[in-house]
Amino acid sequence: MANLKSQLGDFVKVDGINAAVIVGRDGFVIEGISNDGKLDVETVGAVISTGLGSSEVMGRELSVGALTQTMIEFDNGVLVMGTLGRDALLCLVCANGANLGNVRLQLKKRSPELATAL
Amino acid sequence: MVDKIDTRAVSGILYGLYKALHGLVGDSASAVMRKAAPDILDQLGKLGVDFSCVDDVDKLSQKLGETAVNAGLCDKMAFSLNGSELTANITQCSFFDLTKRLKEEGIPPFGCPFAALTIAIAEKNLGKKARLKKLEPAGAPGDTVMVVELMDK
Repeated sequence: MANLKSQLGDFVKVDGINAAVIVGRDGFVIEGISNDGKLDVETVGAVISTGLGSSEVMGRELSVGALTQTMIEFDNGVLVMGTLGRDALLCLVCANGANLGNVRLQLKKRSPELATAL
Repeated sequence: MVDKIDTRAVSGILYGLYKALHGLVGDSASAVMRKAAPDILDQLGKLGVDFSCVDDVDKLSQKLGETAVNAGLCDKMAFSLNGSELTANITQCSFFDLTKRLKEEGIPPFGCPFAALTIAIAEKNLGKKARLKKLEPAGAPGDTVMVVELMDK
């Protein structure tokens, strides 16, 4: 877990990423970190899991294959999410001005290592 | 108003709900149960099934086992704690056939009420983090073993 925390800590050092949360499919928050301590990562597990789950089902129903990443823009921020193996998911909470290309690249690059650490 | 309901009717309703949930969010349906469990616990309390006295694993085992049997959810529920793993052997689970049917259709047993309540009580009353580790048939047809991992917050 210390290793996971440290890896998530690296995520929130990336400019524009405010929080990083790993949750199980069951909504259990495996690890989470917020760089300003404002986000209560313990309460968002089920929401993240079902949010990503519905996107996966959409992809399956529309025959576009397995989900690799998803990005949702809101008035006050952007969520970038991806799968970590079969049983876990990663959600990055980003500021509006974040360099989303870089965020997506970081998620893609670091996810295999995170999945191995789980 | 009748105070007993045919479990076949409940099974039919749950079958449709579980299948729809799995159809909408896939394997993330198990997160719905985690979200629902505290409300189930709260509602049971309002209906007179109060778990607020549960403040250790022994009381959880006793109270939940007693409640499940009295409600007709199973014939017996026997708990044992081994390190951080809380194991429950459920005898003649009323939802066994429903779970089996869903499993045959590729839907995992995400809606297990025993697991949901165990996790909710452990997190609310015992101050633990809890997660379902195993839920599978064991022994005679109708019997199930459930393992919940308890972790310090």
